[in-house]
Amino acid sequence: MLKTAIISGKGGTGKTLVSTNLANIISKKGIKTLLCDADAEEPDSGIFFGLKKICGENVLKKIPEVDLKKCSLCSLCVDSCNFSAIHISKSKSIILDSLCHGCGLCKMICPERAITERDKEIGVVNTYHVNQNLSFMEGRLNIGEPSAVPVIRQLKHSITDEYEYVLVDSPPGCSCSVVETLRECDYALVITEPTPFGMHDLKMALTVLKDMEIPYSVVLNRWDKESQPYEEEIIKAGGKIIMKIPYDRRIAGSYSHGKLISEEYEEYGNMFNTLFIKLKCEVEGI
Amino acid sequence: MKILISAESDTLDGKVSDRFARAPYFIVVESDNMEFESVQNPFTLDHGMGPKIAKLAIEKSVKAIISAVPGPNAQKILIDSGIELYNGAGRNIKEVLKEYIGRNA
Repeated sequence: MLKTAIISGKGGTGKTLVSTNLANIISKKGIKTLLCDADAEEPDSGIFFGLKKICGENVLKKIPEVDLKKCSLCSLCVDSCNFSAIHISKSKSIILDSLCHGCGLCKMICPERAITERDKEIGVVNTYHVNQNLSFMEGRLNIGEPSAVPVIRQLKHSITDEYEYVLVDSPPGCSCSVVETLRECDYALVITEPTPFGMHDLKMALTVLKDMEIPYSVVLNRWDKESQPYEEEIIKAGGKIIMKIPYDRRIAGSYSHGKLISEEYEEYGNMFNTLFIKLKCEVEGI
Repeated sequence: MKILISAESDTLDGKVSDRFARAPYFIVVESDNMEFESVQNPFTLDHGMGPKIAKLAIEKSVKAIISAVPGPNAQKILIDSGIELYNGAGRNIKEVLKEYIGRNA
């Protein structure tokens, strides 16, 4: 099984465009493919496919509960919490659910064993059937929950061995949720656009990839004749450009109707075919 | 009584910060004699800043906080601790202090 993450740094550069079309092209070759939408704050890759839901699994976070009868007010739990999520006074305990990471340190450290844990549902991992060769999974974070990391972790743990190729559509940025997405991936495609903002965030994303020692190449989206200086900047930053997607109004048109450009236009079908072949060579080190 | 002020600078001549926990300085002033100590905010980039500063206020045994309105997390802790909150965001510290102390006299 090969796991490729599609990340970007800057949002709106085309992660979902590349993920969905690449998944479509790979699966059409008869390869068992799984597309995972790890952008749990707003998963929308599913819009591009006809989906049949197979199952949904709740994602739970452990939230501490304090038994004040046992509590000696030593405040070890309060002092040890890195996220200031637990506060104790004589009259009551305050657990700040939104700050709690569910790490269990307070429960472990309590000398009076006054802390127990309860489950709190923070999201769901859904699995869908698309066709014989393509399945789709998404993590969906509940509204109001601050961290998608546990949802992404569970999404990735739910991936079974039956797939030959797994594509993981990442959230934007370079924060914890992207690091969680990249973990245990064999390769990353970094999508960027020829703008100063695109370059700035691309460089940040490359730093993360170098740190995590994950091989990568770059897809330059919204490319046109004036993109040359940006191409040079990408290469200078240590990025190899594996694909250039032209700045084409038809792409926006298809996308806004929830259609795949690799289905709608032959030229884009061929382009994603080429991307897959190049990606395969990259991943297999040919 | 002791009052904690979220401040833009480290003296009473400056302004109350328009942020509660991400203010650059915190001043603890004794309203009886106007003696004060100021500390630079040690955590400006951390997560969960509000509760951290609420904890600082409790440790310093302050009875009131003059600042911008704290977020819901910090408010829960401060209300439980019986610390009074007074909104003075962006205003001159001495002016707000006088107003607050006058109100409670």
